[in-house]
Parts: sequence; C-alpha cells; structure tokens
Amino acid sequence: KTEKKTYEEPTVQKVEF
Amino acid sequence: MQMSEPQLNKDFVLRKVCGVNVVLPTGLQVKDFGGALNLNDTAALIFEQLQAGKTVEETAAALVAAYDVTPEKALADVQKTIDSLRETGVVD
Repeated sequence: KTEKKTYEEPTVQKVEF
Repeated sequence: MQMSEPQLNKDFVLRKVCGVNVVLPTGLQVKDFGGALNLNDTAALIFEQLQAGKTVEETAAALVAAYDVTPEKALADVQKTIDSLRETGVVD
C-alpha cells in the first residue's frame, strides 16, 4: 500500500503587482 | 440540475518557481490580471486536473488518491477552490 501524503486544505492567494 | 464543468481560462499557466506553485497570466491577461496566484500543493493538483479537462468528481478522486482525505472533504474543497479561482477570473 502506498502511503498517502498529509492533506492540507487547498489555498489560492493572489499576489498583486 | 446538472452543473456545467468549470472551464479553466487558457490564458493562465501553472509553473513551479523555487518550489512555489505560481499561476501566471499570459497574452493580454498580463496587462489586465495585475499579478499572479500562489497555490499550495493541493490547490496546484486541482488546477492541473482541471487543466487536463477532468470533472469536479474526477479531481476530488485524484485528491483522495494522493492525500489522506475523505471523498466528501475532497469534493467540498475542490468546489471551494474552483470558486476561489472563479473569483480571480482563472476559471470562467
């Protein structure tokens, strides 16, 4: 069995420039 | 009612810059978008799935396959991420 990665909630951050 | 699948705006590309997932505008979007998006690894996986034309359910399944997350949580987070991408104009 392949070990699954620890889950992090998806984040989308806009960087304005 | 069947919801239509999210359409990723093809003027945006995902690149890994110094270990960071960055969505960059291309073409005329460069002038209008005014920046870039910083995605963590799970959001980047969602972006890649959508870019490959996967459905919301298929994208959630890819999250479940790669991460320790329940299908229900994955589906909810995919939908939330799509909403965030839609707010920024990356998803039509």
